[in-house]
Amino acid sequence: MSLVCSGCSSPLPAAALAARDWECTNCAAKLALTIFPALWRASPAAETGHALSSDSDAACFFHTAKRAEVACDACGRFICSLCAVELGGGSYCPACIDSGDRRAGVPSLETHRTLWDRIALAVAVLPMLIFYVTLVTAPVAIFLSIRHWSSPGSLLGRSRWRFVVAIVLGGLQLFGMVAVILGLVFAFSEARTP
Amino acid sequence: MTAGRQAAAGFAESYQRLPGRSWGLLGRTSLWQGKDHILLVQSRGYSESYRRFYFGEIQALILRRTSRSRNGALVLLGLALLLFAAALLGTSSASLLWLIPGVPIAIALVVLVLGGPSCTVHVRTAIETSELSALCRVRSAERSLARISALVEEIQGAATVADIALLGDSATTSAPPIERSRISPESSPPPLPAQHPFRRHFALFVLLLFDAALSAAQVWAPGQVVGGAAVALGLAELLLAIFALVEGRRLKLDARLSRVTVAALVYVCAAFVASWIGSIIMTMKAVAAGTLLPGTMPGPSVVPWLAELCIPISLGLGLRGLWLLRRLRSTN
Repeated sequence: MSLVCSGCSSPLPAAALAARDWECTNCAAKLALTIFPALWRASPAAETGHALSSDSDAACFFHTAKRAEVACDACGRFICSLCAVELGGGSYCPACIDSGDRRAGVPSLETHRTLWDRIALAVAVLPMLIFYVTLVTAPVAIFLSIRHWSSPGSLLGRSRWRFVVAIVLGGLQLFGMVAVILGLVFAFSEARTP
Repeated sequence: MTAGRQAAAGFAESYQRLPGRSWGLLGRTSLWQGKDHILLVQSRGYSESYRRFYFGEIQALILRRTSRSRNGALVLLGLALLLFAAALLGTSSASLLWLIPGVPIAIALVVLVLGGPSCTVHVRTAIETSELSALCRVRSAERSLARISALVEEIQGAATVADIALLGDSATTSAPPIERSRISPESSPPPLPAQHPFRRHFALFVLLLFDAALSAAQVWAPGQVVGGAAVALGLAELLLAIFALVEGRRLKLDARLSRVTVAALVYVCAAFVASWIGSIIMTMKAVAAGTLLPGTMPGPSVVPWLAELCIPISLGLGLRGLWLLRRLRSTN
């Protein structure tokens, strides 16, 4: 339960907890500590779940001999109090906690997101330095924008302006390429005609 | 509808930005305030990683002041001074080219100084102690921590003096005896090994004094022998500084002694880099002026102002280090 210095990992004395500012006696690091009641609050005893009392009781998906207490907020499975994991005001089953990263179905469990809008914008903008590459990258940028238009973006909430810009730029690049090709064809045909 | 169902249904939670952000080689880190947690976001260009710390589970917030910004500022200041001195003291107009790297370094120095002192912030929960890497400046960290503390206290309540006193008693009684003797406020730092624990530090600081003398010799009596000896001395200092730092980490030496050792290492590296660049430029100038024949190698040479600059730095570091060593030995 004791705190340690974040500089040298040596335990902080009891006096440090009462003092707002403290200088570590081991490494002389200047610390500012803010402690909260959770530091000494006892952890709740682990639930073991209740056995089925009658045939009408719903059974836990993972423990068929135990009574279901709650439904998982992500997948809807009935789970007992042993399986239920309280997180962010909801109850989740262990399977959803485990697969939260992969399924991206429960934002409060997600630890990683790919920002497709940035990727699409980069694919649309960066190849403009080498114009000929845009023949390939412009359709890719448009495809990515349309494919991932509804994919979840950043958890911090972003608008879709990057997708819009990527589609517009990709469209302009394609239009420019087609215009250049048509112009070349026209010029060649003009040159051939006597 | 519960928060979990809302989340499952795809409702985006609104986040408010907290003061403080940091940049690294791999991306940017920022801190956001959610409804019941803080969110640490590590952005790596095309993806984001998230870590959540729920207000009900935060046990402590620990801010530790560091000398990172000060050390960085000193290094940048040294480089900027070197480059500006090279630009202004040079005889030809080509020496003004030193301003090309000098000006960005000076701007970086101003930005670093305006940011204020640096720090690291750790958040402790029942499971782990994690660094809030977005909070790296004291000013913004204190603003963020004030907001986070208020939100945590809304959920947990404030820690009273009586609670903390009880906690202190239990922590003191539950600590193992060896640790208790180590953490008691009146106890001295951990005893140091009896067998010359500072010999590498001592040798380093003595060599720094020799370095000052050799730099003075380079100013007043330059020559290839003196230049070669300076290079050999610099290499010895570099190795000793590294060994001393490794030894200091093992022995958990005094923080001020460690800082002087780090400063000595930085000084030696900076002197090597500066003399290397200076030598290249001097050689190029000599070739351009026709005083150095192609195919011949110049001997160890040093830019005169660099040697002048090295005298006070090496003298100061050496004396400061020896004084600290003497004080530490008398204390123990």
